[in-house]
Amino acid sequence: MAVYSKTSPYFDTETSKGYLDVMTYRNFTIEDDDILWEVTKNYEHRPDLLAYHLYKDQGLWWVFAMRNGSVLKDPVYDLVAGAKIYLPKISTLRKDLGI
Amino acid sequence: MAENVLGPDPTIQQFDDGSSIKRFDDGSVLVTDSEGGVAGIPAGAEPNSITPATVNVRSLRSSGVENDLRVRIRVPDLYLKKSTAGIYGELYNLKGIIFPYTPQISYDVRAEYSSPQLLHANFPQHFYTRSTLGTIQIQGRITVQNEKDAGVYIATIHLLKSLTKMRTANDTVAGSPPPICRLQGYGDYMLNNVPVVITTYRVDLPENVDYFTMGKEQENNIYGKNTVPTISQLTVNCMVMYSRREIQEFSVTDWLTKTKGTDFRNKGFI
Repeated sequence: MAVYSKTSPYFDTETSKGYLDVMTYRNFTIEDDDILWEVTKNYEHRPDLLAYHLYKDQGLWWVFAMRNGSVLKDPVYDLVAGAKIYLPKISTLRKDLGI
Repeated sequence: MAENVLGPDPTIQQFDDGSSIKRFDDGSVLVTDSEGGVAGIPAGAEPNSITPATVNVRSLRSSGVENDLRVRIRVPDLYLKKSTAGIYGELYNLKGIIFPYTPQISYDVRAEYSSPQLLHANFPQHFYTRSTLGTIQIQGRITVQNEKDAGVYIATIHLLKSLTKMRTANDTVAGSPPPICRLQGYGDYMLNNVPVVITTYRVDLPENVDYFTMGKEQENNIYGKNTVPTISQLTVNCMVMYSRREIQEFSVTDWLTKTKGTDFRNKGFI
């Protein structure tokens, strides 16, 4: 059985007989003071690079889509230059995801 | 750590502060700060916390008003009665009127010379006649935010009314002129214990500010229901009033040699 790390979006998803069950979304607190940021050209389609530069952990690439569900329906290809997204704080992620 | 055998990446430009710019083939650039993070965004996307402002409050009651260097018009205790002391006796504790915000103060000191019209003279001649002190004008701002402030405002105005009137018929000391107050502010060599009388005061009731109505929370306060401006100007003009004895005791030698804390300095000569 695969074991996903705490930084993975699948950490809370059940597995049975080696298969992933229906995905259980991981939740973290939406803070009012999260920074609103406009995606720059160099991070286009690169949430992993953004996560690495922000949190020193590229495995958190999916948190931007979770935090900005209305903007980033596709976590990779909706991350385009000019899009305005909220950046979750590392302290929130540590607290709520247990990383 | 193993070195890059190919040498430094030519697409990356490193700066002395640790930040870098990487140029891609499509013309886009990747700017990273000195920590390798996203330029302009704090590490971990943690907003910079704002240090809350701190206010140092010093109690006038415990430290004594003697050390208070704010501008103050000290009035005789006889004039600090119920209606002029404030709701909680603020003016009584301060021994008079205080200007909570730094006021605009101006006064002039003149040495007057007469210049007789001499006949057949090419140059004028001047003869000393007298030295005079002009009016001290104090213009300060008063703000009101609560019942207590409103009480201080009304007490101050009420006190000024009494400081500009003489005692008449039914008073116990009928015939007494308005009292001499002491102007104090900024220290021994500034306005130190200057004997003054209030000649005029000007109260502004502006039309373009909010007014605070006192008496809503404490209907039984001593002033009842009043509406006072939340921000206004108070102008007080004072005339210096030395007694004959004080004038006789004045000495330029003492003026030059006596230092702070001496009786001479405390007489309030300007």
